[in-house]
Amino acid sequence: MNQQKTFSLFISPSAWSSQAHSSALNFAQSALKANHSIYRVFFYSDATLCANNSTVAPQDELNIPLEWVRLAKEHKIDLVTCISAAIKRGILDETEQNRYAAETHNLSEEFSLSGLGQLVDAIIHSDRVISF
Amino acid sequence: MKKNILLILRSAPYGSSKARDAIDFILTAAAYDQDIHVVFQSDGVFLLLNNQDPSQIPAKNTSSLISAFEMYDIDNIYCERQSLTERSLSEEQLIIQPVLIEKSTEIQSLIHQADTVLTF
Repeated sequence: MNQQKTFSLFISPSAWSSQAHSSALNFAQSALKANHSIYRVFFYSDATLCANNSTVAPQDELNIPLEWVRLAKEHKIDLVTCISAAIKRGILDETEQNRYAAETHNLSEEFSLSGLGQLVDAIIHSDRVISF
Repeated sequence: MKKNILLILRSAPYGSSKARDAIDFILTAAAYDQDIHVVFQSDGVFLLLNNQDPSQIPAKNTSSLISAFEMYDIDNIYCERQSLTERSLSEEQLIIQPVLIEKSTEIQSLIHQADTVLTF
């Protein structure tokens, strides 16, 4: 009856101007609680902004980037940020900072920068890909 | 492994990054030899319009990327006729010749056949 599935999540909107990230976090937590697994969370377009390690949330609001980091740490989930979408929005790791001689690097520790091939790979290796 | 990936493009080529994001993904998935199906629907049909010139906006012309679909062996391209009609567009104005979808049930069956559906 209770067949375990492997999910991947695909998120495009920004964490602050849409409900997408909250819904995706709720979905991920519920899926994990029901013994399903999350193969990867792929951040595309404005969703890549939540890989910035310097976001500050108002005290009475959820810090969404931090929630992703927590979830990734607790369940060892692969958080992949689309590299081309991220770097044009100023989200850089140390390698990209050096490559483009940028002033700083700010990629959150649990996130990695990679290509769209990682989304294709997630589609190949998951039973379901859920878009937010 | 090959998966059936259905892309539903409902956004105009300019005015938002959605269409461009979708095309980037389609070309990547094609490079990974996936079974790709693309449906142009709603304002997404404007992507197929010939003689586009977004140089004054300025933006990159997306139609050359659409024309490249064939080179990437992306052959399953569909366009909803009703979306063309609603926008006073005709088949002759399109840069490629997609399969015209006459009934919405055809989209249903494409969704049904797909392993993954992504909408942009």
